[in-house]
Amino acid sequence: MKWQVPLRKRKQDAAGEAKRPVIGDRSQMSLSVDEVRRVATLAHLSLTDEDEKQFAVKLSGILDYIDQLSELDTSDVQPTSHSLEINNVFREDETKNTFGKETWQDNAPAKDHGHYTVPRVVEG
Amino acid sequence: MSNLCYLTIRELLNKLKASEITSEEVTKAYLDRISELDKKINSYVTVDVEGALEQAREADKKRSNGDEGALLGVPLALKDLIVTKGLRTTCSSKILENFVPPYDAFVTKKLKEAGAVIIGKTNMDEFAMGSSSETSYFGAVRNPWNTDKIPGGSSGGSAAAVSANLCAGALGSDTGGSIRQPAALCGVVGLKPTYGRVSRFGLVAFASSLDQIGPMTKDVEDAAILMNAIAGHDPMDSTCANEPMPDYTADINKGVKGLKIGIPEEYFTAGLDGEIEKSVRDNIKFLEDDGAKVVPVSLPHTKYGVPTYYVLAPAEASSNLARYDGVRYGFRNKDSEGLADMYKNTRKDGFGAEVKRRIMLGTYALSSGYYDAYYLKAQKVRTLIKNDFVTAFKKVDVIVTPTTPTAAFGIGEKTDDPLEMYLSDILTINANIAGIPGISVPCGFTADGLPIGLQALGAYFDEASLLRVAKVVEQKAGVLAENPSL
Repeated sequence: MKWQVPLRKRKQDAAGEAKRPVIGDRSQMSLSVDEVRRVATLAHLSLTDEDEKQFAVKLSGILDYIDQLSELDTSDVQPTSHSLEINNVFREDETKNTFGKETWQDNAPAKDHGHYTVPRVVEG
Repeated sequence: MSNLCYLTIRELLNKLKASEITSEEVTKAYLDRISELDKKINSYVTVDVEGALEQAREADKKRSNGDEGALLGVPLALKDLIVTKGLRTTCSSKILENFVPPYDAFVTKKLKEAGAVIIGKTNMDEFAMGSSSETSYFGAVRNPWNTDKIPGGSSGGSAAAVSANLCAGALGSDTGGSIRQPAALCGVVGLKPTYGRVSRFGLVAFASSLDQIGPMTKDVEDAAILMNAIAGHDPMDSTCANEPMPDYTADINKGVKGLKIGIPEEYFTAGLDGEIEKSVRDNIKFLEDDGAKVVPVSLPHTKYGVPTYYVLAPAEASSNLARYDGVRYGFRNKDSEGLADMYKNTRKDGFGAEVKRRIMLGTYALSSGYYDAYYLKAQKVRTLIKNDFVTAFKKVDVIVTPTTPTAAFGIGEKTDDPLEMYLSDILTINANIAGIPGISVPCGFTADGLPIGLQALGAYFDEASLLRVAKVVEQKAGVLAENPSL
């Protein structure tokens, strides 16, 4: 494969200057295990110690690759969230094609008297 | 009656109309073939034996009563992220292993209305995240042309099932090349329509601004036939375009005389395999011989497609997959103490490694302080990539490229290196970022006997021109008659 991960020149931090993060400006060469833990908490994922180490290495590699976007000056470019120019689409809020609660709850992993049940939320 | 399985949808419909065969016969032939051969390929997650035979008998009854549904009695397979009422839909994930949807996707409903027989659900990369169909909870899919090779992905099960004649045609979904890349590697036709051309209602969401459903078929005409059945406006998907619906079969035999075809040199760079380049360039010559005007075009931001995609798609995925929490449906870890632990352990046990990787990447890119640097930046580069195509399509009608940089690679070859895997979509990914339509059509074979695909990209809602180009390639390349031996 010739489409290789570009060797990235890392910018030197301007001394003492607090700045917003930009691509390619992560403070460490690789994502730290602590940072992996922070993201896993946000994503509601529990990870094994091995996972944490793996993610630190592999995600860093991918983020390094993504860093090549910083080569492009996009200061005057508008973002595109959708390829088509579709504006808000409105319709009447009518009930149709609906099923009873029981139908939806057929797939529930745990239920009781028409309610979804989950483990205890507050220690009592 | 295995030869019934080699018929295209058009040929099958002709025989059904002429009462030469019944839908029950052909459905049974497919079911027998699946039970005999699919252990080698693993293209299906679920085969609906009883349901398919029942639908087939119903179709035969309708036909004898004068019903002429556009797909009446034709056995089709659906990628297992398109929901089917009463038929398990897993996304090839443990977390949805036992999920039975209470409703049909828009495309499922349209196919059923046209009289199609839904024979089963095809295997795929878990949640469509992958390029090799190896990340499935139900095991890797194998390429029918060489079972040591991957079939491509993520719609690898649909591609392999069509290629191995285990269904008459199939639907896949394409977020970064997931229809076109496996179509190329398995030697079938795959069409990714314009974003918004086909409703995503009932398509389990991966990256909502990129996902699109499309046909995977034995030939170009079949792709047009399926497009006629599934495309069109659906008020249940607010991103579904309300554009006029052409008859996609109308112009497919018009040839390419008068069409201007652009060749972007950025797609013929050093990483492209020599055999693939030669085959695609030979086919471009065929198109020129048939009357197309071939001109160079430039798509200067091509190389930024993969890094842009790997911000946008994981970011959208991390949000879309937040719904799998073990509460309302799907797998739940039952050994957790409290609610928060239950969420975390359910997702830990329910998702595979690649899905977790993308959730992590997307969550990181969207997390506080990083949004501007990653997501907003990628959305801006998306504008540049889109503008490349908009500019090019002022000059040309269609752009022709290879579909993949290499032919099918070996099973296990790239599973340890996600980045290498991501780069196998380098030639297909920008069509999703820009939202334009693209088709892959078989155009030759490598010396090792692996299929090669030619990709045609078109302007918004101009699937018709892509079908014309693909039809000429199909006729000139002459690879249609080939079938993998199993």
